[in-house]
Amino acid sequence: MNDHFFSTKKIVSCAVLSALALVSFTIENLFPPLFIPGARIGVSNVFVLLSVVYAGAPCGLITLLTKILLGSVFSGNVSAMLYSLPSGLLSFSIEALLIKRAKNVSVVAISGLGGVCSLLIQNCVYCLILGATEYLVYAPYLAIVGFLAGLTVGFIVFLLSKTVPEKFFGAEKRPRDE
Amino acid sequence: MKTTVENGKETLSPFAVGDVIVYILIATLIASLFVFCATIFKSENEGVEIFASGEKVFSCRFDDDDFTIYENERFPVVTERRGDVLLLTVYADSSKTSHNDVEINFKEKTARVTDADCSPSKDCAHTPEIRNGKGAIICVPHKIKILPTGGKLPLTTG
Repeated sequence: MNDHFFSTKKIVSCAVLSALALVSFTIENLFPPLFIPGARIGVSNVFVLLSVVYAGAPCGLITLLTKILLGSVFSGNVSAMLYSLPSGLLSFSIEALLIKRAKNVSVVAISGLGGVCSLLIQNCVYCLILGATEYLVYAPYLAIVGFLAGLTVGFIVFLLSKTVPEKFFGAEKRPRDE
Repeated sequence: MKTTVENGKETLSPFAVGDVIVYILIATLIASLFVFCATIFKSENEGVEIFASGEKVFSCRFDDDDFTIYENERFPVVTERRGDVLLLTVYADSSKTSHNDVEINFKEKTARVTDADCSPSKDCAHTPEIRNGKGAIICVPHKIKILPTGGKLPLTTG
């Protein structure tokens, strides 16, 4: 079979992972935040990370944008998109770059770093938009929560890679390590 | 990204040598943030102020055991005093359809949001209380901010 960049298998798996990310994001938004506003485990990031690892960064980006844009609309909190979009895109860029280029870093560490970056950027955007720098006092605690949440997400991705056949994720080749 | 081969199947690895560098970087970042916040966010814990859409609607001073309501038809404020505790209902509109319930304790010098009808997650009600002049409670949908006074950063615009 030709390994097209957007093969039928990849498109289907991207759609499935996007739907899973969207559903988990919407459900997670119904629950109160973890200890401080904006802090969530980010279960939906499991599917974004799987999409990047097995189907590539473009598919991962589609999954991320689907999660944030549609998830904000469905959960009735459209203003949250202002904070989720920049933080999501920046942390996604860092994770995708490390997945592609860092040969000696595990997915758990990459996810932990992504979690820290995501919540810190979200906090900064929050302060900039609202003009209330007092909110920066939560930055260290958000960094800790983001790190722990990122580790959890990375570990879930590791477990899924062991138990779920990679063809389910639309992988034409083995998990990318080039 | 590090992968391993188990039983002929290539899977992701939970740990790699490079992880140590990543974890050290994260630990350094978190420690720096704690030092930064401890240095910058000093306050004399004088009281709190409440802003609705950028307009000040309420202020109080803990030591004076007194408060001021800035009359505003657009953002009504209703108060009820119970001993050391002052209960406020801050309305985000003149028709009183959206509100945040705030509790201020003059004895313990704290302020927190106890309830709101802003969104299903009610982030403002789950924000830690303002204590020792540190912290901030912001309700984004209602554009209501509860900030400590005394020690405000020069960059704060409202």
